[in-house]
Amino acid sequence: MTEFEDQLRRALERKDPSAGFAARVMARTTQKKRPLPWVNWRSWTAAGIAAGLCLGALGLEVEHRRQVEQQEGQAAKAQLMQAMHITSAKLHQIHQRVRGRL
Amino acid sequence: MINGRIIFLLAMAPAWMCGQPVKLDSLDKLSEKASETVTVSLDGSLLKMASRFLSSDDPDQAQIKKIVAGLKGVYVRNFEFEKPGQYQQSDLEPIRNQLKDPKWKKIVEVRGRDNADVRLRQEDENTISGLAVIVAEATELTVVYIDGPVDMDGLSKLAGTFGIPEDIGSKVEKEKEKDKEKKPK
Repeated sequence: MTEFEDQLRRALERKDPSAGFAARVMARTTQKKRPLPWVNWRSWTAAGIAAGLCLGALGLEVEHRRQVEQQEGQAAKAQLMQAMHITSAKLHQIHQRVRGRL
Repeated sequence: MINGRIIFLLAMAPAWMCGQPVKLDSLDKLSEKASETVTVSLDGSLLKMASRFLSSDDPDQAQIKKIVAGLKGVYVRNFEFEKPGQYQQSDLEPIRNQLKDPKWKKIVEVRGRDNADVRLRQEDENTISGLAVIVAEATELTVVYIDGPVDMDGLSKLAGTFGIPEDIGSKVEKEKEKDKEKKPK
């Protein structure tokens, strides 16, 4: 048998695991898994804050638009009331003139 | 080319048939001389918006809401001057020229120290599609143009609160009767 064959046999021969190997394996399997970065509570908090800010900005924009619409509507109403007042006043004036001549 | 023109004319016909809106812009230059100016220009969308803010509980506002419902526009120019002669009758010519269309019926005309005209635009015997009022006084000039189906009954109901003559509707009827009498049989 050559020296090479001896070396190969020694390398491949069955060896018993060291003492406590099974216990170490079991211990590793019950160890907590390392959390993934995207499930980190900080990420969720940041996302929550960002979503809150977006909702807040959206709410402010809606409220701003509502106020602008309210102001424009009130201005239009005032103009309409003024237009009707002038129209009726002038028609009344004409009516009085016509009645005065009859 | 000719076909294109015909299609264009046919497409524009409904707009012409409904009557051109009266433009009051030519009067705006008078605001420089006037001591007080009121300019109201409410197109259809602004009228709708204004209408939404009119209270249904207030009888006057509720009545105005009803009158305004079908209108396309309300335009008013009112100028008050410090002294007479600040505006010329020629300033009104662009407006009067627009009212020369036969659809505009003269309802009231007052000539004297102050001049006043009330005209209604009639598309047919039963449809009033506009009201124009011109009152030219020594120190005040007022032009009103209401575009759309003017509810004369509704306007009459405003009498007393807004001072609109109650019998203005009957004046329109009288004018119709006069027109019928004039037509050859």
